[in-house]
Amino acid sequence: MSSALELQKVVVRRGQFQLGPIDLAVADGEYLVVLGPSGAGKTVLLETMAGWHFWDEGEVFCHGQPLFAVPPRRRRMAYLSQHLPLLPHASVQHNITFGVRCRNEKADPKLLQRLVAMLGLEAVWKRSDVRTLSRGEQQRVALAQALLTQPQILLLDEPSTALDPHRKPELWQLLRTVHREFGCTVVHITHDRNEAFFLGQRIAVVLAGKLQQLASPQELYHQPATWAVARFLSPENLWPVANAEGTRNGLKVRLATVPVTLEVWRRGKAAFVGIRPEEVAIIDPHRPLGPQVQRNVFAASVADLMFLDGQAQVHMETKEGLLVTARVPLCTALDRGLSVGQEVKLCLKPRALYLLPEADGGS
Amino acid sequence: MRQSPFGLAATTSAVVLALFVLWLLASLARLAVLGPGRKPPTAILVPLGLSLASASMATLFALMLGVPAAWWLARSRWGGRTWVALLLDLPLVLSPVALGTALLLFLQFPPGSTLERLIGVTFRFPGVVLAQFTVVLALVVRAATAAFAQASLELEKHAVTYGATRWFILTQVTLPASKPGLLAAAVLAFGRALGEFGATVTVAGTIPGRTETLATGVYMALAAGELRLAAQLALVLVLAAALALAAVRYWEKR
Repeated sequence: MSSALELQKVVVRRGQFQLGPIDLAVADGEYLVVLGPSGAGKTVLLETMAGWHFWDEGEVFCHGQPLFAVPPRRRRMAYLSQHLPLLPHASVQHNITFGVRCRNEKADPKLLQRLVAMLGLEAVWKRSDVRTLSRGEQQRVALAQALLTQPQILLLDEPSTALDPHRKPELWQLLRTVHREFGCTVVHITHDRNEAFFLGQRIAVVLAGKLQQLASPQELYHQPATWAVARFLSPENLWPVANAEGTRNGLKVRLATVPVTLEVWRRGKAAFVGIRPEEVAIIDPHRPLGPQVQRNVFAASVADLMFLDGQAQVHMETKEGLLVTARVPLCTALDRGLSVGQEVKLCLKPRALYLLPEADGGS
Repeated sequence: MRQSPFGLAATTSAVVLALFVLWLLASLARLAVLGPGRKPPTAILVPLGLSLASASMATLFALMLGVPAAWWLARSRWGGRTWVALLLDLPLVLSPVALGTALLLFLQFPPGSTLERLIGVTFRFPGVVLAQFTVVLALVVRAATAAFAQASLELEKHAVTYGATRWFILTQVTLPASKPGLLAAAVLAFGRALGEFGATVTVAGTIPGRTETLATGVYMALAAGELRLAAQLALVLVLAAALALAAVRYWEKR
């Protein structure tokens, strides 16, 4: 598959900050999410892709040609930055057609009609001042503006940041529909892990200006590439390893800080071993043990319990002193009557434990 | 609610200052209506017409030259830009008489003398326009630079990303976004040109019907002891300034 955008060993320097060197190819029609915390260099990366500034080393390619060798008109690119490209004082209609007017083209009436319906803009269509719209409505107007230009590449900079939490999934669903129906290549940056996992066909994790991992959501979930990625995605349940020895199924690792040995059904360099809180099982004493929870079973007591939206976060300490965090559905926690101080049995599923090489930058 | 001593002092000073200005205006109005020495309406209408014409032309020229310069100042990243900005700001703080003197000297030698030879500036109507233009140019550049700086540079970049031409960006993005600021700059410049005295009187003198503006007319009427006419001319100036300020406030709010 050809690349819509490709970065080859790109380095961008901004004062003390350096992004890269980054190698990244975005396939035609792909939905790529760039995930990272604030200040990681995500916006710089996206602006580099948009050609908003020069890079110091490497090369950026657009449809196989050096980016600056392709005139902006022919790149067929639309970029929705955090400051939406809306003309203040202008009407909604004027703003929606801004992109096509920039291209000196006429808006396709059928597409316009479809976009207005799809993005739910009928109610605000006749507004004379775009500033009277809510942020969510402005976001959809900007999206309509971009899509009306029939872009081949759509760049989105934290599109849901300014939205209320309950409106975010609406936008995510909308973006997914847009991507499916328009088939354009999307590069979307966010610091929201849920957003990244919901939308990304692949996720690029950028931390402190470095591309740490480029993987599918499943791969990222089950096997973070580095200690930094694992810490960013889920800072709980990461333990240093004292030594590891091979077994028939994988490795037997002895932890460095507590007298615990874990069976891991993977092989590889094992400086750290970790598990996602969602993969930690709190065993139901009234049910027979399934095959996946018969190893790495520990007696523990509940040290703390937090009720989240639909989930419960349970902090436990095993008899050996190992601190483990689990996230279970709220109904499970309520059904089991989990409470602080309660004695439970937990299982660190061998297939869900992942191994990490030496920590990069500190542990 | 009880006010602190500082709050009380601040409120008092604001009220006293406002009353002072009102008192000045009331004195002018009283003299303009009841003062001795009634003059024909042409004594006001002729300098008013001349002032309106010269201020309009000076503002127009200042906009034509100042707005592109302001755009460059707002967008350029060249290191010497601040020095150019400093030079363009200079007339703002310079004494108008000094500016007028500099203009007079400029017109004595090339290339100024060529201008003098071609259209005749000194003690003529073009001299009034030139003096006012020189004074208000800095005002236009400063206000328009601020307007361009506030207009979204990011919006311009988006337009480039979509594939817009420079002309489209200027006419459809930059100028509409800066419109309130530019209109305010124009009105401010017009108001300032209307009241300009020092440079105008130095370059163009005050010849009734030819170079006498409202501002120079006030001075001449005072010198001749025609207090009623001086007050009437001054009131017209006040009215024009108030209108200009109201317009600027209106556009600034948009």
